[in-house]
Amino acid sequence: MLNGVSDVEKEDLLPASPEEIWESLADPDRLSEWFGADVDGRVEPGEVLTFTGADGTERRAVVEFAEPGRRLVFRYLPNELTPDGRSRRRESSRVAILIEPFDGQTIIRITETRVGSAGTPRPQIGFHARART
Amino acid sequence: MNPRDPEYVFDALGDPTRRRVVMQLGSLGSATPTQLAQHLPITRQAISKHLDMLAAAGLVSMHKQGRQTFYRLTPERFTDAVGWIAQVGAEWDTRLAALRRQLRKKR
Repeated sequence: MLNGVSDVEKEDLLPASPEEIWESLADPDRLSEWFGADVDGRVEPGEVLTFTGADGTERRAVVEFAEPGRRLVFRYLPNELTPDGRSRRRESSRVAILIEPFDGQTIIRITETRVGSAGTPRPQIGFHARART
Repeated sequence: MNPRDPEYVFDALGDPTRRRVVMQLGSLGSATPTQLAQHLPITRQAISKHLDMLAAAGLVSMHKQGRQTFYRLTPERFTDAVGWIAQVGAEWDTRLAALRRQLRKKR
């Protein structure tokens, strides 16, 4: 029960090249289309991305790595802004999106991991979700 | 951080020894620190400290019986942690399906 990891992992094989998928990650307009939030900001290390959900709630994330055609890593900040302007605490997490070519298509691997207030991953605790869709 | 915040569960379970205490307590159902110490390679005093931390996070509850204190797991708190994983997992399923649609449209 308690010897796995505290993160969510997803893996998929997509019918596109790594370059095409990178465009969907690095272009905020295209990213907004599939992410389920309006995304604003530049996908470059150190830049802040703002995710505004359909209900107006705003989350921010710091880009940690952005390697075109290979990986995007960002870390959500531990607060979100409600539509009425209130700051509300929310679980911080780190999202790592890795892409690599496979047989003319591309494997995308996404890991979202809870992190502590200092930005370090939370210890592994035993719940593990993995899916190949 | 408020010990009752859902995320506190993850901090409390960050220690491998505490996880062993949790697993042992889960298999015993209800136990005193002395009873747990019979199954684990740590002292009763150390187990008591770990149980205090788990109790602060709401992961275990305690009740007195005579001079003894019995502990048991609090399942609802574990459900909070599982809930985060289920929610985030579902969000990524939805996003990946939308990304696939976007890529298909572009072709």
